[in-house]
Amino acid sequence: MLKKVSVDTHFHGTQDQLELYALDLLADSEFIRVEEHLIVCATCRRRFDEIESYVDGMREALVTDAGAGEETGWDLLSWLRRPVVSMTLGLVVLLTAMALLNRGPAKLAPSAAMQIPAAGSGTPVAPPTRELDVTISDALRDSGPFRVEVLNPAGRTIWNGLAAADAKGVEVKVQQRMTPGDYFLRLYSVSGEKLKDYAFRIGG
Amino acid sequence: MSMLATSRAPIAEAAPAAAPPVSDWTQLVSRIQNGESEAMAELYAIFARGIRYFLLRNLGPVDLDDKVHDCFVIVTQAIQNGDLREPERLMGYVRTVVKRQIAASIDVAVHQRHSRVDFEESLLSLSDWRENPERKVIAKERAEIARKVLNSISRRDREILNRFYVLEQSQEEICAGMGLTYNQFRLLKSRAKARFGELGKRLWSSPGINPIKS
Repeated sequence: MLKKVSVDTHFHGTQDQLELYALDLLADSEFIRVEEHLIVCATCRRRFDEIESYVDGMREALVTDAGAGEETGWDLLSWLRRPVVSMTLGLVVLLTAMALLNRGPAKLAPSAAMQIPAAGSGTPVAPPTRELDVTISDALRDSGPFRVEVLNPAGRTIWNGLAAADAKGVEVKVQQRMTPGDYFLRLYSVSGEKLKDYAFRIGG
Repeated sequence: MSMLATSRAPIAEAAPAAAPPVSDWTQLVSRIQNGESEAMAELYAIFARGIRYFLLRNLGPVDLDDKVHDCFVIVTQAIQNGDLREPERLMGYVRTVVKRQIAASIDVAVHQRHSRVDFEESLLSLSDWRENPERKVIAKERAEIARKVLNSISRRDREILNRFYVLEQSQEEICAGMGLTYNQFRLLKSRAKARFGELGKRLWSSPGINPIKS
């Protein structure tokens, strides 16, 4: 008969924590704690499976319904296609957007560009965005394609994709919302060989 | 020589360790260092299912036993060689080993496929082991249940769920943007989840329907 080892299972993540873990939105410190706990706690693994199932289903339903709504909405609003109406609406939207822009910057810009390495000697910095265009201007012998990974401060891969090199360098479009913090970009050859590591910062 | 290093056969699985309140990883680590085979079996009983769970989710069922075994070999060797400098962080160390194994397996898969087929084809199919027809059906059913839940709530409530699950806005952002209290937000979310659970139970208790868990 095995002697029971006592395990710190006091920390059963809350429903909210498990839900944010499933959405990949949990803060890094909590993320690690939840994940470590999931390794030793079967009850929480079952809870997580249920929560993940719900989150996935809800996401898919919301996304597909939004798409379907757009399709049917087009027919219902076909009068919008009349040039006078659409031009007037366009003008109103433009004026509204200009007014909003004059009030101050949006909370999270849709995209930004960043060059690696930075022009100076410091760490390259970009504002928080939903999408980041990175140009790696380091001289690389290879012209690609490359596999690229972006890791958050905890070393967790938050995005990966492919990139090719051109005259300016390696162009990467990181389609991942990034909040302020220090990140790493890892460049691999297509054969999986790690070529370079770069650090960059998303500023507050 | 350790039990894990000599045999690939999994140790007979004991019931998962219960959950007493205080962690005593240090003691377990020291017993493994002293060569207690019972301690090794305890380690296995605590971690095996969790390791298997993460490996299966990330890498699929192929060679799963071998991969679980490899993780244990790494962990026990580190313990026996005295490489685990903070025994109280054993749980964190196991997590790190599993993460590295997953990353290494993905790298190997990329490399192997590159040497066998054209590059583009290999990357497109690398992580698609979950994309089997049965899983697609289950995913479709889940979305259908969620759709029923969404159809039963108001447009405003739907927007709240959309902001949270699709736009990934924080609870604070949603409450501020829609003039909600924390409790209203939580109540809506928990009601929707409960409804989803009810409908799901009804569907999955129907004959012939058996949801797959990863």
